[in-house]
Amino acid sequence: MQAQDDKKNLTNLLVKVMKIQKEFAHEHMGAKTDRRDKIKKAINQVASNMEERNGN
Amino acid sequence: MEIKKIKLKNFRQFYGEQEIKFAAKGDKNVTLIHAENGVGKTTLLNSVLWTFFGETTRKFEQKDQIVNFEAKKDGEKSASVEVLFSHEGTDYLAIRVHSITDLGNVKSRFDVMGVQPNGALTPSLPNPDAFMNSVIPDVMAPYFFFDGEQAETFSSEANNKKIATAIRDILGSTLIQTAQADLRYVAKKFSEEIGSASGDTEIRQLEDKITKIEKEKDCRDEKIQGLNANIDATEVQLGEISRALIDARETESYERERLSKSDQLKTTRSQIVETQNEILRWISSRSIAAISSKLTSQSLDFIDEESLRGRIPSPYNEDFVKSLLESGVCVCERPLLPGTREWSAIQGMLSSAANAEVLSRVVRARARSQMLKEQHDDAPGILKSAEEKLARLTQFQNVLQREVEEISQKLANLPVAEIQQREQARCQLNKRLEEDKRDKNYAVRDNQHADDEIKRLNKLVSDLALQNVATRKLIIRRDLALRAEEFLKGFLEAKEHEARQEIEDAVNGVLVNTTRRHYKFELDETFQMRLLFEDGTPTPKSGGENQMMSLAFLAALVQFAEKRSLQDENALFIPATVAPLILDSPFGQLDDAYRKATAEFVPKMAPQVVLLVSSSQGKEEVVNALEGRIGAEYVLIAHNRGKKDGKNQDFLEVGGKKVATTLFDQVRNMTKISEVQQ
Repeated sequence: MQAQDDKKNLTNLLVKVMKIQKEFAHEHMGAKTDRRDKIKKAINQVASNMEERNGN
Repeated sequence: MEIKKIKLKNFRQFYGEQEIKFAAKGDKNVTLIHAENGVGKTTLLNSVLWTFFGETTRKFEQKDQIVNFEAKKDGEKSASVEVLFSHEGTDYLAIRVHSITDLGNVKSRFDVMGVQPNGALTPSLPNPDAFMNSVIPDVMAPYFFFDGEQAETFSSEANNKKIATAIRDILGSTLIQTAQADLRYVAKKFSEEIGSASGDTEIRQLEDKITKIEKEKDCRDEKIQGLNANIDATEVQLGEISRALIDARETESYERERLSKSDQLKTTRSQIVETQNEILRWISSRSIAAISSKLTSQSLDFIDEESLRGRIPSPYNEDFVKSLLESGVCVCERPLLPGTREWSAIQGMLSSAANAEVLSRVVRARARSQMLKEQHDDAPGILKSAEEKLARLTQFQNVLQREVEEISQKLANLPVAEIQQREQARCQLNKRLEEDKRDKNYAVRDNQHADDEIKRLNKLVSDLALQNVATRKLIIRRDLALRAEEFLKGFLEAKEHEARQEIEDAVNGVLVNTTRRHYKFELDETFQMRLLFEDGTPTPKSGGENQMMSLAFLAALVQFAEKRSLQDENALFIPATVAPLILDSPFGQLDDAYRKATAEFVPKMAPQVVLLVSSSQGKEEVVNALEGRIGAEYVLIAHNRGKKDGKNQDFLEVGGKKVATTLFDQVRNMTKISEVQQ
């Protein structure tokens, strides 16, 4: 069960990360910082959901 | 994508407005463009790359000099290239204009407009760069607009990184690679936060250490990149010198001999390393056997003798001794009471009493001794044969090294100043190449050590940080980022493995149809490509076979891109493309027979092919092999303002007519595009 949840969380994060990459694919100037900020937010979101479910 | 027409306006050598209409897809898909060296082949190839992406290849010299010099004299301040192309059923016009303002500043403008059926142009597309990238991704473009003279660099030993990059580019993995870099960066940021959030001095100190090591590693990464660029540039320069020496009558045989000897030298060196490794393996696996002959035979004798006498395992069983102690009576019927001398004597037997474990140990010890004995018998022979092989190879290496040095000496002593200079330059470049490679190896090794140390320190940080609620949250986030990066890495490696297999098969397919002998192409795990003769020995790197192999590799990349464009590809990759293949001087070092074979397969490499060839490359056999496939043909004619004054007048036989490719006493210095009527 735990392993399944882990896999689901990872997939969830990867979907978000790749969506952000596509969104920024053709941006050049200053895109790197914005893109990385968005990825950090996505990680925080997935981790918070995990913690909520685990009751932490 | 299909390119229909290209119009140059005061672009480099091309004065005024001049255009080329490309042969369409189909049976006659080849546009053949003849031009002598320095007249404009490379400029034409670059004009397309420059228009679409504002970039040029390494061979495009004086990149900033875009406006034609004669036009500048006439007061012109801009140059442009227009490319008319179709994509998914619609025509588009891509225009890049380069202009110089009154203040001398350079301005560049890029537009892409749709062409309506009535010929009218739509307004410029809102994001032309993004659109162009969706038609042909910039990372894939260099493989379609390709400088053939660089083809053989694919097969050079240091270029496995280029091969890996080429495959990743055509696979469209840019997004995944950027995602990996982003995830590593974010993980690092979480690590830094752990250090400051914990309030724990030990964690902070560890984080500081990690940051310091990472900074040093980044510096070394930059250094490695710089060294890679230097190595590439030096290899290109060495290749150019080698080509120049092959082209000169006085030096051709020397240079060919040197290349052949150098190839043998490289192969011998790698065989020496392999043999040294064999000896190392012998030391780790057989040396004990070799030196322990007396020990093993004595051990075996001892075990066998003692077993026969019934001493090992001990002739009494552990369970039996225990039962005597429990019953409190010995076999001689004397009582066994704790604390008595008899009781202690019987209990002492337990330490050597036989049980399953002891039995198993004896069996294992005997087996191991037996194995050592057997290995001992053939160990000296194996070592002797490896040492003899090493001595033979070392001697051969010395002979080759001397021969290569002698050839260099002969070249340096030729009474031609130009050749002497080239030879000197070659020696200096070789020295620099060796130094750069050595420095790179050191930096790579130091980075590997740094990675291990970072891993160790991160583990210490995690162990400490897990004890604190706030830092535990950050650890979870950092590990999530790292796991995601690790997943992408594995995913990409698996896809690259598949792509490598497909490309290997495709290259072998091309070679079967084009080469005279049976070859086997191999692309190994490290992306090193090798062409082997039927018996498994490698072909010489300098030979035409290797240029052939590099072109076949390019053909395979194009095929792979085409195949990918037809598949409903995984959303993680950039979509692939089908684009025209523009090949500048693809027949470089090929001899006549390979030239013919290559000319036969080039039209099949892509739906639309543009070949730029000089008279030495576009020989009769090439034109004959292309017969029936040429849909458009042009000659680039060099116009010279100067008088002929005894200079050679160059001619070219095209379509049964003699065409002058160099004209003197003209109005201006320029290159004129002249169409050959089919």
